[in-house]
Amino acid sequence: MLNVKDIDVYYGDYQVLHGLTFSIGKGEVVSLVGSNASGKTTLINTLSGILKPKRGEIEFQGKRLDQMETHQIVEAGLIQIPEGRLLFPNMTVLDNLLMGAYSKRARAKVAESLERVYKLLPILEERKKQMAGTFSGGQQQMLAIARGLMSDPDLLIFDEPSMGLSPLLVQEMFQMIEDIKKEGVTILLVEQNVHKALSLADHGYVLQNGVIVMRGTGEELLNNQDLKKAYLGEL
Amino acid sequence: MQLIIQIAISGLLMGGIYSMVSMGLSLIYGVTGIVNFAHGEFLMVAMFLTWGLNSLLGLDPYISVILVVPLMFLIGMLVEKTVIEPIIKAPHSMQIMATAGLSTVLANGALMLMSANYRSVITGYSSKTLNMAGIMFNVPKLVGFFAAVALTVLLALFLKRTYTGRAITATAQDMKAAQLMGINIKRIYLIAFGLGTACVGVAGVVLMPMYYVFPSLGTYFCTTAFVIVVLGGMGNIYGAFVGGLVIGMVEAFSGYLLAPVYKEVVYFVIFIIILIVKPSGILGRSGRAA
Repeated sequence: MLNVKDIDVYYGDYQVLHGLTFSIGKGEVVSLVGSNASGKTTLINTLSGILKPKRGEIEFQGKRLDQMETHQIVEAGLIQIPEGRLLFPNMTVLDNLLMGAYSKRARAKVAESLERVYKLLPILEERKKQMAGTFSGGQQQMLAIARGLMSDPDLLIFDEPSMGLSPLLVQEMFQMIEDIKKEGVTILLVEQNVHKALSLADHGYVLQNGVIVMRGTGEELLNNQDLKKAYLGEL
Repeated sequence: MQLIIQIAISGLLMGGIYSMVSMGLSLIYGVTGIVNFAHGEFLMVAMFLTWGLNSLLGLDPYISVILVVPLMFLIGMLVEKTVIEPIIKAPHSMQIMATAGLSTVLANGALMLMSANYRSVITGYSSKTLNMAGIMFNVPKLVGFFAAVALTVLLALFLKRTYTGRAITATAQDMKAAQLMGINIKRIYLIAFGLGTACVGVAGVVLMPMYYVFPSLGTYFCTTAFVIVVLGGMGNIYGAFVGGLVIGMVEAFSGYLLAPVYKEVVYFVIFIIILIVKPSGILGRSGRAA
């Protein structure tokens, strides 16, 4: 479904990603793990077209994404739930959700999508008139996910969804990701919570200094001794 | 007492005009982050258009609104595409040079084409007043005030109720998130700039029957509009509406209590006090966080 071929990405003169190649199959959950500044967010911002690769190709459902504008990429069904949620704080919950369905592809299904996210997260329906900025951190993350679902994603990218959440909420959120997977949405999960992310994943990639240093099924990576030492500590 | 009310009313009515000019400026800043130093010149252009339509075609200024406002919308979009879009990510200093440069070009272009003469449109209602319980209402100012209220309501409805309007609001609140929703922000910048300029178009039309137009008129209104935008909260169009009314009253009362020449002194003192005490403005900023 998504094929990334040998991309180089720069911030000005500084090269962040070096010849990255990976792919995601339809219906899969793929986890991308790595420490701070390993290039995870750079990678997904490149997928979303906010950054452009200097070299290489990104192909998604048969279309070349690497030269498209962000809004065209959204229209193609690649949706990102950004790090730090980036809600519209001075808009109501409902308006935030409606903005999620801004693209043409999503607007056609807006009533159906609303019903779906209200079922998944009834609190959003109860508080639809409330300003998003007044929500707690956990509620904001749920709203951000719901807003992403409103976009009618074929591939849904989560950037650090567990950031700033309490352990209980992290649990709840990963449960939600699993539910979304069951609906047939393909998922790319970018996480610092390596253990959780890999236990959920069909495939995983480990990113270090802009290079993929390890790849395998979620289980293989979880059992990998080097990875255990580097990220998981002694379990 | 009667006199106090009369002064307040006059100030309020003039404030409505200021509100319209400032709302456009605030909308443009809130969405694009561009401080448009050519905003006053847009007003001058709108007034010359109104004047031109009147002297060439004999159109009543209020009727010419149906031509002037769409024309100003197009001019705004044209300016955005040619002047603003290339510098949208440039440093502030460069953006200031671009819009200040545009202001000079427009003012001097008008001077070249129209000469420095003052021009006005005299209509049957130009100096008409209504007398209600001893309070005098100048008819063109009253029309201006209601136009300001109507414009604010329409703009608010557009921003809240339509998909495009919500996309404009969303872009002002978080540009990156807006992009990730599939919003084409280049298009939003274009529309926001056009709308902001169209607001000045309405202001130009309602000013024409009671004021005169000359090439350097922009400077005066632009400084006033900046005071109002800061007063109301940068990027907040409701703040600009309220701010305009406040400044209109301040102007009227300082003109009465001190002398008309001191009115600018008074509101610049207010401007400085606000910058020190509450730099986010009376209604705070609803636009971009920065």
